[in-house]
Amino acid sequence: MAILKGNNLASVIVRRSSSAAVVLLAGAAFAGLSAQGAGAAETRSFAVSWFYPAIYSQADNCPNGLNPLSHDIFMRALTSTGKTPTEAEAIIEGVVEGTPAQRDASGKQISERGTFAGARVNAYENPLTVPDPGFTTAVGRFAYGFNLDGQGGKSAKQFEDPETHEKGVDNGLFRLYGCLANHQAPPGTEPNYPLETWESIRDTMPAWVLSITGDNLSKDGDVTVTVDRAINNVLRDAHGHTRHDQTFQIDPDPRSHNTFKGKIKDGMLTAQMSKLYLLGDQFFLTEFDLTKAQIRLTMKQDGAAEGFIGGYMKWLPLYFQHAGNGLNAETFRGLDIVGLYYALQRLADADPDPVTKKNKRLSSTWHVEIVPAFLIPADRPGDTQAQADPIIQTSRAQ
Amino acid sequence: MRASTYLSGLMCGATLFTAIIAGAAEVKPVPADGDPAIRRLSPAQYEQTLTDIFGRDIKLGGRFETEVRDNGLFAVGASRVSVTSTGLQRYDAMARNIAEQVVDKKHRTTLVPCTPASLKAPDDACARQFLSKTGRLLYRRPMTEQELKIQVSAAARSATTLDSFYDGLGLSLAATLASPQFLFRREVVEPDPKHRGQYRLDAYSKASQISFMLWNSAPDKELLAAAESGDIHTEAGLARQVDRLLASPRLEAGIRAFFDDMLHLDEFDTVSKDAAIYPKFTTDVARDAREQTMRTIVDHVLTRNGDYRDLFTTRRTFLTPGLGSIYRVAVAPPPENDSASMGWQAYEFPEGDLRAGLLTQVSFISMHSHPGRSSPTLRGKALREIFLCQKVPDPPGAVNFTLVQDTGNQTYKTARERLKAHATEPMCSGCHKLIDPMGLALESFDSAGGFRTTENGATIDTSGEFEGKKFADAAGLGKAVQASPATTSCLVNRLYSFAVGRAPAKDETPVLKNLEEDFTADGYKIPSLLRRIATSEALFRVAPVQTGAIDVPLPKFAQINTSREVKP
Repeated sequence: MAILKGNNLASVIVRRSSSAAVVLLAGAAFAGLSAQGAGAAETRSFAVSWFYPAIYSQADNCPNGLNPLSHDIFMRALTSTGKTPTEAEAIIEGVVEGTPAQRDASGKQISERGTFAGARVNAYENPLTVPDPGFTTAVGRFAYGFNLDGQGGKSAKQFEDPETHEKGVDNGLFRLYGCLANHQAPPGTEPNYPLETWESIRDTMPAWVLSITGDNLSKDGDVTVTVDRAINNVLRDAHGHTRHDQTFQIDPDPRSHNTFKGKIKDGMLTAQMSKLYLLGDQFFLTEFDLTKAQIRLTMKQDGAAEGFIGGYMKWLPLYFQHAGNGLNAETFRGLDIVGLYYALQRLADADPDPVTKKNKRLSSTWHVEIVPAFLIPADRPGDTQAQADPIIQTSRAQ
Repeated sequence: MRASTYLSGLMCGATLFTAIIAGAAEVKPVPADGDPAIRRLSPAQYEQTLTDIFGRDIKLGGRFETEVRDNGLFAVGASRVSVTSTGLQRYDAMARNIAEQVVDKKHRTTLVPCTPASLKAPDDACARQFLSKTGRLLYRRPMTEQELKIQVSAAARSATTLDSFYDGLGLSLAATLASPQFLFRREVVEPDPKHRGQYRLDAYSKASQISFMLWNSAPDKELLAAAESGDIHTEAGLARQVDRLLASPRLEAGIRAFFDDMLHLDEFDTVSKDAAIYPKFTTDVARDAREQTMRTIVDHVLTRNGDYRDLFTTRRTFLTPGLGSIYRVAVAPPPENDSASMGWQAYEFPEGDLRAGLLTQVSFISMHSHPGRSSPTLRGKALREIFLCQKVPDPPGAVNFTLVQDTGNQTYKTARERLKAHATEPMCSGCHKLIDPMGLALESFDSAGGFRTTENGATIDTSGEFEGKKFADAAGLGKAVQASPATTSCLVNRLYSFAVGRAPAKDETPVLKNLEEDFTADGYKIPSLLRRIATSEALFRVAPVQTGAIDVPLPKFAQINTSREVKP
């Protein structure tokens, strides 16, 4: 299996491809590692090691307080169906401390709080059968992200990015999660709920991978970026983090193959693309579908990179990610599923349905961390010859 | 199994076993005079033998006694070890477990060659048939009539007590498996008809000698038949058997056993790295690193029949995805249900790469490093002791290592600078001059085997000199070791020691010299050297028997320090 040039999408991708003119330049701007002779393409590739909604919690995000937790969610839901507070308490106690049979019975009363044609129906599957219970969303000045609609900072719904200080940032996803107790994450920290979720799925979820190709990734200039899904999941290192320099095989499914142009300036990669699509994981987002996507990544000394991906996402898959967990999400994560549905409807800010005029997409920004990886095609059974990183080889030789 | 019944089955070998145990505290170094020494089966030999006899379906399990390395090899230390009471319990437990599997319903139809007249009663004829056949393979010789009678009788008594023929048979098999006749290789000598007044190994001991050397296992039926017929005592007969063993795929087990022993790869079981500094060094990477070296060796010296010296320069190796992350090489994850490759893929580092030869592999690099930092000293010492058979003294007491250990020192940024400052102490400088230049050449690799070019921001200088040859880096060091006569003479010494189970005696110097010359003439091919040793009289040579020894079949308990048993 030959190492292929990374800018040929049909032939996919490599860790690094380069001419023999590669030399080692410590401290180079982008990679901090390598540069090469003019005219020869250089590709670096990565695996996503962290991916979740970008949260920038500030004290003034929720002036009316955070959203209620499970007990209050259940109390509100049950009393809205006609239960007395005492009856509701008994049901809630059954969910938490009852026998298996009691838990099932109590859970059914909570989840089937919707009403349709005079009958109780599952509220998670039919959120519109329950009146909007209210869902507190975040306000404030700052949120990570991008000015997706190009309208500047005139709208009250738009934020300022705390890093770039770009105005007019569209990030409805932060508004959605910003007043949930387990999504609080002041700068430099990670929100508890997403951390827990990501930790539990990344050992099995096919990894998302990325490559950057340019004439010289150590210098400012234009690059080509690919984003794909692999058929392998990430492995952990001895520290429990995502292992660096792991090899991934690219999923040949063309739906998860994305290519776009970008540029490197002062060690930061930025790119824009009209559409970014990745198949996801049944326990996470089943699909990651962005329009008007933008990316911003800053390289780190150890060869990894960190930054943000933003764009308008379909909000219905996000709803079903949570609704699929239904009662558990409400019980253990304090997430009012029905309230979430109505909030998503309210916050959606792009892609109006031609008939209903309701927006189908929500502006979003995702915090992403990537680590160095090798990418190889997956559709070459029997071809198992390992391949080395050409830059490493050459620098070793020198 | 009932202990009383079971123990009666052990009586056959109890005297010798008791003697061995009782004499444990009295065991002395085997004199380097060519005496054969009793050798305890290594864990690998135990497992391989039983797998060969009963098949892979029988699960062995259990823990073995600690091995002792002598003259650089466990194979030599095996003649200096005994069995502790705890060890005996472990062997006993393993024996019972194995025996129960062999006679259970799933396996008895294939492993027991007869069917008893009744499942609930003794059947001496069937028990004798099974124990005779199996005992011959386990004892590596036919069981004596007395041994057989005891085991058949024990099986019968047990069967009666337990109302089960197979349970009774299993007890006798367990006794056989826990007996010293199986657990210890005991060489028997006999008068040598070709050399009046001298002695040689008897045919069965001879068969074991070459079988364990080449297959790391007990002789198979054909080899035992050659011993029984005496064919193995003829030059042609011996050559025929040796060539057969060399041509067998089982030779790989012997090659692996030798190099695993010589390279001290067992020490890899205790290698650990600071996860905060070397997060890539996971348990699976450690396991794979050891196997990588084994696969490299087997491929080079056996599959390709390559020049042994080229093990220090070869760029061909095998990698797994986990190792790929350390070597920074793309290694495709194995397909699901991939039982053939087990994730291993062939790889050849490109010309000019510093990864060349065993010295640059993760196993050697990481095994001879500290958990949180590299160690030119440990690496240089290991290189000299393992591959060149040179003894490097341990460091003197009361040495201040503070400077060497201060890896963040901004005055002495690299290990070379720190060692240079440290070695100004007179008591340290002598040895460091000997070992550091070789170890410093490997400073391109951190403690976990990862590649690097700088330390604390300073460029690492990997140049050095060995036996008058200057080199610039690790690949150059490999070439220097490849070209050293000490490299090949060490290999010959180690392989000969491995075969005879003891350090070469002083009067065997000519033998070693001849073998070295043969090794050179054969292009430094390991299979050829194995054949030379296996067919040489030296392998079966027995030192002159001391006066009176013939009249003493077994020494008193506390006097046992040799296994020699002499046939009149």
